[in-house]
Amino acid sequence: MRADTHDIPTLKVLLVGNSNVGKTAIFERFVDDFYDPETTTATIGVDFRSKIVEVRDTKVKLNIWDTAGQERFRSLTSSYFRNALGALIVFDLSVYETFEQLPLWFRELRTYSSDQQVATVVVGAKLDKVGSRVVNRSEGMAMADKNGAGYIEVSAKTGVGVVEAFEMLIGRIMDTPALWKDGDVLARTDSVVAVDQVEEGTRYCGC
Amino acid sequence: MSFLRDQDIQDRFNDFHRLDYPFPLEPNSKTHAAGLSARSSSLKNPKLPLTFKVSARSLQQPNSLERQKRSREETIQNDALYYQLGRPLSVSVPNFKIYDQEKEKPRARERLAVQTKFPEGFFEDSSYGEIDDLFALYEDDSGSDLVSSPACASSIAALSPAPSRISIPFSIQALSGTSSTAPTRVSQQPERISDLESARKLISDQLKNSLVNSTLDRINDASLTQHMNRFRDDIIAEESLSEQIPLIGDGVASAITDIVGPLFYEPPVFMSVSPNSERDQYGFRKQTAHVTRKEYDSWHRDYQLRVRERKKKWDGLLRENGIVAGSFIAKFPPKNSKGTMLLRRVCGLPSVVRRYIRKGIPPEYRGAAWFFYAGGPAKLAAHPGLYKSLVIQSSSLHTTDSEIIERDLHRTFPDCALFRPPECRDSKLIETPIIQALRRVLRAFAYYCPRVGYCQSINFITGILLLFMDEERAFWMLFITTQEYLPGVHDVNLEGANVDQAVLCMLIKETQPAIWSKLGGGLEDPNAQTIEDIAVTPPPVTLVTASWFMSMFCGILPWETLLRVWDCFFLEGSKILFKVALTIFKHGEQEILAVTEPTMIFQVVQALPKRLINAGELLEACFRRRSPLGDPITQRQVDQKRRQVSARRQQVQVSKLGHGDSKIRSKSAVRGG
Repeated sequence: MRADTHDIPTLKVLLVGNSNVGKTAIFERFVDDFYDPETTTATIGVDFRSKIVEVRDTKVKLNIWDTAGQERFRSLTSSYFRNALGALIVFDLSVYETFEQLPLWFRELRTYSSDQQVATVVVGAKLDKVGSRVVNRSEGMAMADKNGAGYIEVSAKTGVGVVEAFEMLIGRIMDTPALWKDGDVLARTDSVVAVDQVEEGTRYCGC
Repeated sequence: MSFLRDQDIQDRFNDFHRLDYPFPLEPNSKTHAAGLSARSSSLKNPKLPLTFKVSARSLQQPNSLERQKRSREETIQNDALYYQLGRPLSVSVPNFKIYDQEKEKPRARERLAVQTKFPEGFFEDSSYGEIDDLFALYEDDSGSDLVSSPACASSIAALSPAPSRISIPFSIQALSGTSSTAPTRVSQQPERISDLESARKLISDQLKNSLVNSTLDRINDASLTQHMNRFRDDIIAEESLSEQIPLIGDGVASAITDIVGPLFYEPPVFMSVSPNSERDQYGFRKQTAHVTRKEYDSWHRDYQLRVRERKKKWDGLLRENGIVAGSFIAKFPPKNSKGTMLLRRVCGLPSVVRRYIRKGIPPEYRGAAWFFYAGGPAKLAAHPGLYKSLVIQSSSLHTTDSEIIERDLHRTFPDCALFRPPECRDSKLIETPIIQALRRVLRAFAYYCPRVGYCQSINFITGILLLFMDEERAFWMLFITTQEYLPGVHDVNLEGANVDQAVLCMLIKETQPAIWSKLGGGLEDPNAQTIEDIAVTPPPVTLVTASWFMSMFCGILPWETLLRVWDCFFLEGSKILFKVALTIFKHGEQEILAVTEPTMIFQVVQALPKRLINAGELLEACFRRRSPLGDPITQRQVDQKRRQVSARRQQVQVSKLGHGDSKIRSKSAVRGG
């Protein structure tokens, strides 16, 4: 098993978007399959976690950076956009302003993620708030298309779409030859020792 | 932004169904659309007096003292007012009233009079309550769901015989019904409503302008009524809106003046909690993702004894200094009290006060001691009434900051019972007094300090302050913290945060080179190892530690540890944050050194402080003489390093601008929403 983990490519992905759109909730739902309204607080700086997932029969290790949404934090966080292979750009389906700002987030990513192309997926969050939705699906898809991104709607509260969002992002990274085949990704494979103890319990301990 | 969404309304209906509601109740499309609880129209038999039980729990209190306590705890969120006032408004209803809908369906103008007909004590004695028809009462006869907010305010006054239990998020704000929070869904008759909205806004703006320079204390019933009616007349004349704006009666102003007093938030009195309780005395959960209940209990058993001991010691200290312990002690012994200078010089012992504080301020004296040692009394004395006038001036401001504040209010310690009562953990509708105070302080502060405005993280700082002091003092403490202790840290460009992180890196490098080799190893630029380079490009791990400093360890350290760190911080200055951070690194040395993958450092460092429940141990390690950290870090050293880093950063910035390399410095266009 250890040999396996050695070969697992590591993908650096980001969660970006305006404040209070639900980035951290998506992050926690994905990493821990956990949602608790008592833990929803603003992220200061970044949160970092990793998780190993399997997409198209390939195991990859995702290093996920959950960033603070308030504008002023960008001076701290944007330098860590570099080397990111993919990003989930999150907006709140019930707050139109967060949707309107998506283009600015695309620009931000292009500016700070060095020269390479970044795979992106636009994520409409808070799908569970049925009645207060103000952005419709076709509008969201059009916006994503225009920026060459994938589009998905999710609810961290119910869990709908969260895993699929990350899978879609990984798929798009894999489909982008510049990101995947270049050897760029594989070159960044880290030697993993302690990682599995975090994600997969004690299964690999002591081997 | 609308607070009440379909789901919320549905939830409210469900809530009512759960109560002992004697009538079949159906969501009706109109009330639904309006979001009002004008549900009398959907009752099957409107002729019956409305006597449904509102809450069995609150009404079946045989003991009146107990009942009083309960009722104070029960803050009932009033949907209608939520809409009418444009702001969440919570009413602690001591009891509910019986109201015969048929007999008293008054016209708008007569409503106030009807309200006051109820004899005093009437409400207190009725054992059945009615909340819904309060809203029904304010349903406009014409069928419009909009009613004047003043009428609502006065109705609440009439509802409760004890005005001290009424709390409205701030009078002027409450009256204004600002468009920011006006629901979009009320728009059945858009043209009329928008007129009314603007009319309200006009009234409130004019009222505000006339009050800007007065302190709240000077607002009295007559002047306020007069003011408001004058504006009302103007507006009616201009817009011919007389139908929709009822005359403002005396009750309104008295409701407001009643409100203005108790509005002023006072911190809670903490009681010791049962060892079996899930939450600690501050309302936080004992068990967290990082501390098990068993760990908490085994630590707390001894700790609470020590806290009691310290309380006795403090009482002694205060007595010796001729200080009478009151509710909020105005004066504490000076920092270097009690001729210990000689002792200190010879043995290097810290002063008595310093030692006492390092061992923990008793919770009873905590707020007062923080305020005193941080220099709060001088600020308060130099600016009498400023806070209150800032509250008025900022109350209806609509800015990006105010939007983010509004969204963050319910994201501030949602795990604490005082901020969000556990029984409504999924609901944002309940707004506790501390949340309302938090709103006022943050808005006033953003208005007063535009350099900082609102920075996420100061909501946490203010939240903790409000646990221990009233809102005006919390405001000044926030000011002192962001301007004097942590200058620039929360500024719009976070320059101070960057500077402090570089200083921290320098200190780690000097005192714990082994750890630094790990942390610095994650640098994007491997050559950036010199102090100068660190100043410009701090290593990635500072993204984690920056949040430690910005929030002053709120949400990072376990609560008791946090409070103990703050005890020292307000006495000794920002060096404490650096010392604590270094101690955390020292504590996690083995773990950090064992990490082989650079990115894992983040996870390790992030988790380290969250486990440090043993407050005493951490602080002892922090202040241990001849500590492994080397020479004790003085505030002077910290300040000197701050200047050094700051100068270096400026130098680089200037040279970058010289080279036209504006890409890195380019301001992002994205607004933090």
